[in-house]
Amino acid sequence: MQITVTTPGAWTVLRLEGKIDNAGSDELKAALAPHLGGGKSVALDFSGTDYIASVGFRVLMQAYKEVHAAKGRLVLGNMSPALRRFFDIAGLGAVFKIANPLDAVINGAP
Amino acid sequence: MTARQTIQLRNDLAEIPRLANFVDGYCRPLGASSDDINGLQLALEEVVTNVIVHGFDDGGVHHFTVDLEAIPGPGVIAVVTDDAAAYDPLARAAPDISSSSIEERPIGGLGVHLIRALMKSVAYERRGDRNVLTMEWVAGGPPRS
Repeated sequence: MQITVTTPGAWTVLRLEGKIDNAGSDELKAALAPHLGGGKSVALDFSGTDYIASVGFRVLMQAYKEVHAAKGRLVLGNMSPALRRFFDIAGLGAVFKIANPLDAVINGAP
Repeated sequence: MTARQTIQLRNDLAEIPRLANFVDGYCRPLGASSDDINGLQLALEEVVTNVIVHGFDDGGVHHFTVDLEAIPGPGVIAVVTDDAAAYDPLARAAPDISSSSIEERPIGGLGVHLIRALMKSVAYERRGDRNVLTMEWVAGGPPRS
């Protein structure tokens, strides 16, 4: 998986490209780690992926908890309908904050 | 009808992409969309990951197989056969995923939940010294849960 980090305004945006399978989840976990503390605003751009396994969901759930414990925010977005379906099947569509398009949140009110 | 095909895998998570390519290569000629195929790939990755991570605890190299056989639908009967200790992944209680609060969401059990949700049917059988997990998958289904 390829992960590209940009920092528009107050946000840290990680764009994910490839499969969030076992290996991809490890990479995602490592890429997220530096951004979970300090009350940051973190966004995950899923436009380059249409696959996430349970290990990936676990990485996201753990990240969500850590970000919120640090009074930060984590927003997921730019999901294809197929990827969104996996989140809904996992019962996580209503757990995470999901924004389509992500730009509406990133460029919106702080 | 596409003939049955088998892939042999090692107990190493690095085998997952090879499994994904095998599934994709078998299902695409059946007329299934890549979004549909992702569902089968996901279910098989969950099963195979379980076998690789939990199946063998002796540190040795083990092999196991995944068979795919096309059925009308289009669909596939997928069979995972391993000679690890007897283990029925379906015996585990389904996790409660009804809460929208992250604090109340169980971390475990999600893989088996995804398998059940994405497959039309799943059955476990201990056959001699082997675990045999048989999954029926139909492109386009099952209904969203």
